[in-house]
Amino acid sequence: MISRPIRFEQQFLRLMTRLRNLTVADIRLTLLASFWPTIRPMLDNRTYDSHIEEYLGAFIDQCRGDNLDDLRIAELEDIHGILASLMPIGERLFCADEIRRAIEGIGIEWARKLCYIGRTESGVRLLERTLNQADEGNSGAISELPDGIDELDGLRLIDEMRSDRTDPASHYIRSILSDWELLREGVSHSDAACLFVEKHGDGTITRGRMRLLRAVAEYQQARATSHEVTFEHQIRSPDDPFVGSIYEALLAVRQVLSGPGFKRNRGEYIHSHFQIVHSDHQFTGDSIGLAAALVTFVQLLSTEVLRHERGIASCAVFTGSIDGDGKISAVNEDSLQFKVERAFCSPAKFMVLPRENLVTAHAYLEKLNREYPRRRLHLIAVERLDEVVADRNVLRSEKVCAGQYVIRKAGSYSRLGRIQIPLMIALLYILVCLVYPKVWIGFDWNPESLNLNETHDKALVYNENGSLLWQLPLDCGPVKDIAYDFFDLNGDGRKELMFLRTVDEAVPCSTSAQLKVYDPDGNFMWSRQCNLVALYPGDSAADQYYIGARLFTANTALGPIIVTDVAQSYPGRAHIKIWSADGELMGRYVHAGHPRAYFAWDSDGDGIEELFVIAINNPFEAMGVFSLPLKGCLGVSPPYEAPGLDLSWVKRGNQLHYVVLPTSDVTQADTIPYNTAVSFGIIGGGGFHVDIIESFSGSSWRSFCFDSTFRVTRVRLSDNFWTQRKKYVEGGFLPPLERHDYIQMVHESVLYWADSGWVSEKDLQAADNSIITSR
Amino acid sequence: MHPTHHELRMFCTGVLKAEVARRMDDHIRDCGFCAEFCEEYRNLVQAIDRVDISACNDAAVLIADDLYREAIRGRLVSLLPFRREESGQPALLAADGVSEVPPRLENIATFFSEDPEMILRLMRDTRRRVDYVQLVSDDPAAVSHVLVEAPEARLSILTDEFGRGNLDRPYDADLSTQHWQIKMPDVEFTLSPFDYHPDRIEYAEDVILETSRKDKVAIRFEGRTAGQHISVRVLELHGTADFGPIRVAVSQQGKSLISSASGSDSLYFDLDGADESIQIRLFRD
Repeated sequence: MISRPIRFEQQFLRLMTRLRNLTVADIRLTLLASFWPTIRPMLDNRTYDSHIEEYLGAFIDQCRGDNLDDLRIAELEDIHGILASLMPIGERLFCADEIRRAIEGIGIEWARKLCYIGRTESGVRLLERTLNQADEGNSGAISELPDGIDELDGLRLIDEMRSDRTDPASHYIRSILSDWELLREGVSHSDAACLFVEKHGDGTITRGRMRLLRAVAEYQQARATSHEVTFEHQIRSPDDPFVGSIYEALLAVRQVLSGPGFKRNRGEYIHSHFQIVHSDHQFTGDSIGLAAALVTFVQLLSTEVLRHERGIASCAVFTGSIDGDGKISAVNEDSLQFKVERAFCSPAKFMVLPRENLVTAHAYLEKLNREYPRRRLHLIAVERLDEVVADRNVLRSEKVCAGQYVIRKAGSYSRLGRIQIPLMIALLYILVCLVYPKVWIGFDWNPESLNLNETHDKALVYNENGSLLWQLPLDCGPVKDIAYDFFDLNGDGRKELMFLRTVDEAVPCSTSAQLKVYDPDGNFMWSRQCNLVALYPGDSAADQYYIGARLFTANTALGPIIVTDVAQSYPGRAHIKIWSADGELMGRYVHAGHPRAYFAWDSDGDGIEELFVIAINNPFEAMGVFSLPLKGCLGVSPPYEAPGLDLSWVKRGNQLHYVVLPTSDVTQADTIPYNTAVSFGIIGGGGFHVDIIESFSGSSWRSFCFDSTFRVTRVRLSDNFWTQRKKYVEGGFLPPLERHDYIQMVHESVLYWADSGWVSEKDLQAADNSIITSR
Repeated sequence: MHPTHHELRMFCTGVLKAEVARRMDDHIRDCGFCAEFCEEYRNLVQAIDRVDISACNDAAVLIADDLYREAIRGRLVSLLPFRREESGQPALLAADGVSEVPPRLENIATFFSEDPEMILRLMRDTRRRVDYVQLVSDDPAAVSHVLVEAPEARLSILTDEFGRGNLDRPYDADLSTQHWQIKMPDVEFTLSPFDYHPDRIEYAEDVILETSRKDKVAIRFEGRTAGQHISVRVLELHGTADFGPIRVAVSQQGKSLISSASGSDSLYFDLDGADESIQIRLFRD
């Protein structure tokens, strides 16, 4: 016991110095574990607390995920035991929770390894113990595993048999299982699991290690003269066998890929970048060659359209050196047992090794299998690289569902040149179409709408989607307005444009009343003058100014028709002309006022439509409804006597019907100059109705129902209209009347034109002795 | 020039570096005095090693402990820095990014004394952001309630029952280059609960404590509304009332209070009132 504190301090400082110098985390852990017998006697002497806390801190810091991968089961057990012994001290040093977490981490890793080697029951019990769980129901399921079951199925079975699948142990069991199954089914295009041994300066080997070799490889440009290799991890020296074996691997890969069946078999040089994942080690040795060759080969398969989905099975681990001809050479037999042991304690299913090492490896494996009979590790012995790449256990496509398979295959074939070039052209075409839509093969060239440009001297014609098709210069511009329509005049499925301009009256223009027609591509078809000369007062010259008021088109029994309406005031009149599709004049008529709406409707049932017009009759200052024959209409509308106008000389029109709907007393009380038609509709029995707005209020209307002979059969008033009138009555502006009497009065005020002159409804009723009903 | 006795003992114990030990060995071959000292020291060590402590009865062990404590009473133990092994890692040219997480507990420096054998560790607790000293000894009683001092830094720390004392300095102050020493108590009194019966004191009561070496202190217990208090007045040390400046440490239930006094000053300490013994230690300056 002499000099114990000083001697202990020396040992402790030496330990800490070594820990600082070590770069490999799991070796730090084993070093700390090896110090346990030295520090253990000090636990009872609290003056050593600072040592114990320092030791404990270092221990806990190392107990993390990847640090535990290469530790043996016995080492994990030791560490677990040490941490458990430190638990009471942890309470004193306020780090009990950290120790508990470290114990949990170690316990889970230990349990995972037990499951890998087929000690499934022990692994699961350990998990339950580590997670402080003692569930009798679940534990009972452990002892019933059948003989002959393999390590993975054992865990699957236990997972299925557990009654409580929500407890923490079940969660970890499923986590281990899913990781394991993923590894068994997965493939990688950049990683290969390699087996290493840890070799010390004196040549002793202490443990096997498994690391992922990751590579990114590509063909170099044609002017390259040699292969190129780069590393992301430490190598001992540039001329180390490690580097040499990688170059040999690239030579071997190049040879395989230059063979028949590969697209790029021109013997190009390769550039490959390697990294050993999660490792602070310095690497040496040549047994990496096989893995390096495989991962490079798989990387370069990405250019092989029909093979590119093949990857390295994640459940395979590799060892073996390789020469430039692709021959796999033996590895050191002394290190082989460590590699077999490391592969054995992993989730790997296949260990790929040189054929020369098979006997020795098999002997080690048998020895391990005697102790752990449930573990099934398969040895795959190979002599050449082409043998390895042909083995479907090692190099295979990922197992996927049918849908995914179809999509991947489609993806593969889409990379073929004969598909890609047309695809590229199509994509390019689509791109051009996005920039310039008119090149699109299905572009809609049919004109649908028209706008004036900003300076009102051009008409811009658009399709339904608002794409500009073409534009027309307008003579006598800038125009004030334009009345236009698109209508298929020739039945070719495409619409022609026709329009009437309203030019500025101050601009001298002899063609202000001109109809112009263009084909769908903007080509001029024909034009016609729409005004009538010397038929009505005020129309004295052919080049007078007129407003292009309305344009109406319709398909009729006589073919498509165009109705033009050019107008002028003082006196107010509209020149109505009916044109055939090719511009032939079918009829002409002057109306003493301005039309509001046109319809083509066969009101008399003779199979040919009549032109049905609702218009303001200016001399009456009231709405009129009249109809004209499509072909051959002529003359001037009634009245033929008006204050201030000499109409005695005008030619009377041949309208089929003309009815005047006098303005209501409400309209007059509102001081509105005209009432206005707002809607027209067909009603049963061949009749129709016309609704007339009579006040500023839009919902104040009167509705007149007509029979097919244009006789008003019924009058209706909106409630608002009647309310409005009642207000005027209350104000003393209008005489009081019952609603029924008022309706009767309105009905009786309707005027019909007869050859002999105007006839009121009252006169007709008196003649017919008909009865008016009101609502 | 002869090596010191301390160096010779270090040589015999085998803790010297190889090169120093070789030079020392060369000297001892030629120097009869030093060779004789080493031989005697080795004999002593072997004799002590041969002693089977477990064979001693409890009374003998207690006597041995008392003798030892008596021997080190009032001693000022000077400490030497403990040489660390170099890490041997080459310096790196680092494009330093995020700083590494420091270890939760860091040993800043270590000092030692061979006789009595003690280790002083300057520790840094990075999580609690506190520096502290830890005295280590195989006999925890030897390092409990002693003064750890760094005179140049005017630092004096009273250790707790387990040899630990927090540094009364800002966190991460560099104290590793200071000269450190340990001051053992000159006089030690223990008042057990039986002696002072804290619950029974309803008003002030005086007690005189005296050691066999004629150290005498007057203790006064006072029960006040605010709690219980103790006042300590040193009357004599080694039979003399002229003992100069002195520090008095009162410890109870792991808590310690220390105050300086001289002459017949009375020092007042608040007590927790718990039914625990009270230790009173006197340190002569």
